[in-house]
Amino acid sequence: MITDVDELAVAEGRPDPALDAWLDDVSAAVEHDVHRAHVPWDFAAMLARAHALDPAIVSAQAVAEAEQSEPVVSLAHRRAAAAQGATHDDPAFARLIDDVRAATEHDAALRMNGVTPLRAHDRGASPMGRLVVAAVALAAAVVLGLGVVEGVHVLRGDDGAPADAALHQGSARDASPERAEIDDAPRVRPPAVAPREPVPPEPAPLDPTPREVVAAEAVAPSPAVRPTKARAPKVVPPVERAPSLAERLAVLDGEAHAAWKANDLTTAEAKFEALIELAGTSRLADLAYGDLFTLARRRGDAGREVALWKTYLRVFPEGRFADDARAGLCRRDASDRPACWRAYLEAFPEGSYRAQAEREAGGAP
Amino acid sequence: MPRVTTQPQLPSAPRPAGDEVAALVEQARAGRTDAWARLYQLFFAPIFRHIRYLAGDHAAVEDLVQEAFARALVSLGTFDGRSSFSTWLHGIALNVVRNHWRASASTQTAHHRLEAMHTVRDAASHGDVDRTHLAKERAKVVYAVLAGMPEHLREAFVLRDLEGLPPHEAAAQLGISPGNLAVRATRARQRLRAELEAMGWLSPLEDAS
Repeated sequence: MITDVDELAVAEGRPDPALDAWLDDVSAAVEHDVHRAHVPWDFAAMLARAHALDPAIVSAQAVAEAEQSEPVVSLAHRRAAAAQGATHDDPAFARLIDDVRAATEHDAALRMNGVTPLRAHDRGASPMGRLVVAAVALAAAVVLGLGVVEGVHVLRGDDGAPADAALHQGSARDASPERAEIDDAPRVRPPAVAPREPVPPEPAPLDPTPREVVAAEAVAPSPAVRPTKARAPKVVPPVERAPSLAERLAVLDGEAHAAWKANDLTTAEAKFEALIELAGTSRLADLAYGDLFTLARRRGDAGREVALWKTYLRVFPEGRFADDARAGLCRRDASDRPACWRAYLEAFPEGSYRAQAEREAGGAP
Repeated sequence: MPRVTTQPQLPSAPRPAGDEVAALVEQARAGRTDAWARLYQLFFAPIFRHIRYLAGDHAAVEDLVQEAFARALVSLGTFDGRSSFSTWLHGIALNVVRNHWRASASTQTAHHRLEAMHTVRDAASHGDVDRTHLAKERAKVVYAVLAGMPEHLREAFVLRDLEGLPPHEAAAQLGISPGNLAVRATRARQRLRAELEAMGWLSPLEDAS
């Protein structure tokens, strides 16, 4: 008698690359579909269905409340979808942000590994220790320098495009998982956003000794060629370079998210507003509005949400959150709700809130 | 032999911590709509993907996902914590898809199979056929064949060989042992191969002995 185990043993011992190739194609096709899917996350519609299934568990009031108070439920999903486009259509800006992030993380790594600035007990570090520290600092400076040079190069545009044009194409930050976590659903705890340190304009001082002197020691091959007092290199004051627009935006973004993570919502809002002011009508500003919607929701400031939607729709009438903002205004701020929903359906016939819009539009005007 | 998928996995947000989920489930049970909203958001992407793999056809996925979450919400009182919330929710999604299968099972299956055979033959006959297009057409064929299989084989195969879930996870979702899962998936695989051979898409495997 052939048992399942025997059958399995025989089957599993036989490789089948031809069938595997087919199955890879099937998985690829499904993944392609999943990535491209634009799925409305209408939480209220789901609740309405649950209410239809069991009104005793999900009350009509809960559905009504969801329809009133959850107009923006799809930010994270849309960010994730937008991120794919952003990284594809703007590699130059993505590279720039990656460079800035790499330099920041490098600096953070230095600090986390004990190379912290100006600790009293570091002052008496051994020459070898200082050599290592100096080498690491030199490497950090080189990385940062390359990043800045590359960033400037990128912003000048490999293709001759104006520098700020890159800013109007979105950024690689959208692609990060932590970015996708910045969402709008009611939160039980602060969002799991990785802290981003502001980009330092220069590597942090590692030692009271001027950086240039330490660096010179780092490259000295032996005591025989160690610079004498008379031959010590001149300490040249660092050249002050005004941060580029991209760097300022990255700093603001990092500060906003750091504040958000620390639950300092007021500061986070202020930073996002400053970012919007700088970023104009770029995708970065578009995204920052999404963050402001979420923050207003978390603060329970309904009036602020409405004001933000109105401002947003003036600046981004076809922005990525326009669907949500229009629906939000119909739910909260429309004197003529049916007319508002009819206008919504006209603008977004496939919109996320079309189910409610169709219910409330009430036929012909 | 278990297939090692070569497809890139979806970029997904970090898995929510178990204690966070447990707290949210408790709050949702107590009637907190905001807690359910958070769970909805945390699990929307994995459930969407799960249902998309099982259903095979993207047209119905949106409604099925909504149905799965709605049914989960009204059944939350039955969640006893023996499995993880994620496993429980995936199980509800599977039941929703099973109902969908049963509702749509008809002569359509045979029709779809014939249609799929034609489209793939057409696609393959063009030497410069777009790779993505060919993959989609192959997917149609595979799902058409799967539609003719018993549910227990089909779902084991999809979870294990297409969705690529680890054996223990797929087995837990189906409520069977990992060994049983492997047997079902292998049988489904053998049937699929036989169908593809019969259609002339694959050559018979050479006997290894």
